[in-house]
Amino acid sequence: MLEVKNLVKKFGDVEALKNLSFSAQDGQITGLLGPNGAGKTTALRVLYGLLKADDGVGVINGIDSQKDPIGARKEIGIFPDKFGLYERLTAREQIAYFADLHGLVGDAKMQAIEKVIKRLDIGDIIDRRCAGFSQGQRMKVVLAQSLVHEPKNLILDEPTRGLDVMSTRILRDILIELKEQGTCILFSSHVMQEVAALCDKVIVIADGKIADEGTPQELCERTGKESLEEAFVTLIGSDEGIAA
Amino acid sequence: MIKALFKKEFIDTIRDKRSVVAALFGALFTPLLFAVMMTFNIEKARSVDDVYIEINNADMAPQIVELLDRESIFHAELPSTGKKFELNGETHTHSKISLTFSDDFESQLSSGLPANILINADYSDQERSSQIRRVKRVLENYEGAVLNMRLVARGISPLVIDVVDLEEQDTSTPGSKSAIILGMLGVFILFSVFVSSTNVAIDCSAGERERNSLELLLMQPVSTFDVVASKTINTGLFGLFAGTLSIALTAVVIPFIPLHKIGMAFNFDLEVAVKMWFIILPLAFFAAAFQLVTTFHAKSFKEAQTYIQYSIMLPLIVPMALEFSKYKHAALDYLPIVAQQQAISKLIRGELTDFTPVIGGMIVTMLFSYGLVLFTSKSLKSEKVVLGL
Repeated sequence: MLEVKNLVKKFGDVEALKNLSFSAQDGQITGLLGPNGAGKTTALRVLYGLLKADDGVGVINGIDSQKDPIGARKEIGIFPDKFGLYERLTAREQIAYFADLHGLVGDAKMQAIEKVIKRLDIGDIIDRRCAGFSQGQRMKVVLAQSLVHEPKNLILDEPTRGLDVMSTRILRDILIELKEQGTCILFSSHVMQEVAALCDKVIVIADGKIADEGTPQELCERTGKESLEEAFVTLIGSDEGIAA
Repeated sequence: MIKALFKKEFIDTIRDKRSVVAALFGALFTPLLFAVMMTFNIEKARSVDDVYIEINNADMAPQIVELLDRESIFHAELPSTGKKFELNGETHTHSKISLTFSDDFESQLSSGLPANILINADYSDQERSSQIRRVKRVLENYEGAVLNMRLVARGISPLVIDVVDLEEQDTSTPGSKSAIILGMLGVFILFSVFVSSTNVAIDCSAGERERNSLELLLMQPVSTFDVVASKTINTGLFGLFAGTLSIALTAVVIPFIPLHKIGMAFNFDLEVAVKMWFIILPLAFFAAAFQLVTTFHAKSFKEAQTYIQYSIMLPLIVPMALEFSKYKHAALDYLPIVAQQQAISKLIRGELTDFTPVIGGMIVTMLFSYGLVLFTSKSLKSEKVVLGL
C-alpha cells in the first residue's frame, strides 16, 4: 500500500508538485500517467524519501517516508528510470549487493538470489559483467535486484522505455504475476497502450496536480472519448509529451 | 551494512583499470622522482664546472697558468661576439673574464717587487662572481706560497704573519646534512598518499552519480553515513596502499642514491619504514574524506577532476603556509598534514623521541576525517548533491 497526501514540492520558484494526493492498493497495478515534466519522478522521489517535501507526506505500508526513510524503503522494490548498473560487477554480484542492502544474509540471501535468477531466467548471463549487456538484459538485472528481497510494494519509473517487444512482454508477465500474488505495483509511464493494457487504476498527473483518476474505461467514459490517449489529451488539455 | 557496502566498493575499484593505474603511478612516481632529483643534485654539487678565461702574456707566469689549469680554469680567446665558442668541436661558454700579466711581471717577481696582474670582468654579473672568486683564490694561494718562501729565504718563520689562528669546525654530521635534503622525502611520501586516491574518490562519487547508480543506491534502506563511510574506507585504503608501496620503494631506492659522495648517510631501515607507515595511516583516510567532500559536491566527473587537483596541493600548501606565516602555536602541531609532515621529518632526522604529538596528531586527524564523513553524509541528503543540480 502506497500513499501520498497533499504533497507540495518546490525547486526554487518552480512549483513541481501542487498538493498532490493519490494511493496505490495491494494486489493492483496503478499507473501514474502524465506528460514529461508533470511531476511523476519528483512524486516518486518524495515517496522514497530521497527528496524532502515542502509539505505533505509519503506513506509506505503505514511508514512515513519523510520521517523514517530507511524503514519505509525496506518495504519497497525500486525499478528506476535510469538503470544505473555497476558496469564492473557481474549480474550476480549486483543482485547480491542489493540483497545485502536489504539485510539478507547467509542461506536466505543465497536462496533469494537463486530464486530471482530462475524467475527471470537470467542463468546464462548471471556471471558476466554488466558492461556488455543489451537493454533487455539490463532490464532483467534491474528487475531482479528490485525483487530479490520480495518486496510488498514495487515501484517502476517508466519501465518500458527503450525495451523491445520481447522484453516488454516479459516485464508485463512478471508484473501480472506479482499482482496476483498481492503485490502493490505503482508504475509511471507515458505509453498509452501499456497503461491501458496493464493498469487497474490510472492516475493522470498534469502540472503537479491530479487531473483525474479511475480505471482506463472510466476515464474514457468521463471524457466521452474512444481511446485512453484521446481521454488523456482531453484531461491534460494539450497533446504535448505523449508517446503513441 | 558498512561491510557489504565496502565489499562492493572494493570490487568495483579494483576492477577499474584507471583507478588502479593511477594509484600505482602515484606510488611509484614519487620515490623514483626523488631518487632522480637527489642523484642529479649530488652530481651537480660535486662536479666543478670548467671555466674559460682569457689569459694574456701567459708565458710570463707559467706556474700560475699551471695552478689555474689544476683548478679547471683554462685559457680561451675571448669570442668576438656573444659568449659561445668552439673548442675541439664542442661548444663552450666563455666567462668573459680576462687575466693579463704585465710585461715586466717576471722581472718584478724575481726582484721581489709587486708584479701586476689585471683582472678584467663584469663584477655586477652574479653568475660571474663565483668564477671571479675561483680565479682570485688561485692567485691568492700562489701569492701565499711565494710569500712563505720569501720569508723562509730571509730566515723568518712564516708563522709571524699568521696573526689569528682561525680554526673552523663543521658540526653538521653526515646525518643532519642529509636531513635537509631528505626532508623533501617526507613531503614526497605525503604527496603520494594524496595523489593515489584521487581517481578512486572521483569514480565512486561524481562518477557513480554520472552513471546513475548513486541515486538508486540512496533509494535503498541504507544510511548516507554508511555509504560515505564505506567509500572513505575504500578510497583511503588505496591511498594507504600507494603510501605503503611508496615507503617500500624508497627503502629500495635510497641505497642507490650516492649520498656517501657528499658525506651523507641515511639509514632507512625496517623500523623507520614501519614508523612512517603508522604516521601516514590516519592521513590516508583524512585525504580520502577530504577528497570525497570535494568530489561529491562537484556537478560532474570533469568538474570533480578540476577540484581535486587543488586537494593534491594540500600536503605542499599547508606546511608552506605555516612556514611563511611564522605563526607558532602548540595546537598547530596536532593538525592533520602538519602533524604527519613534522613527524616524518623528525623521523628522518632521527629525532623522533616524543610520540605525544604523533599520537595526538593521529587522533585529531581521525576526528577531522570523521567530521568530514559526517558532513558529506549530511549533504547527501540534499537534492542538490544527490542529483548534481
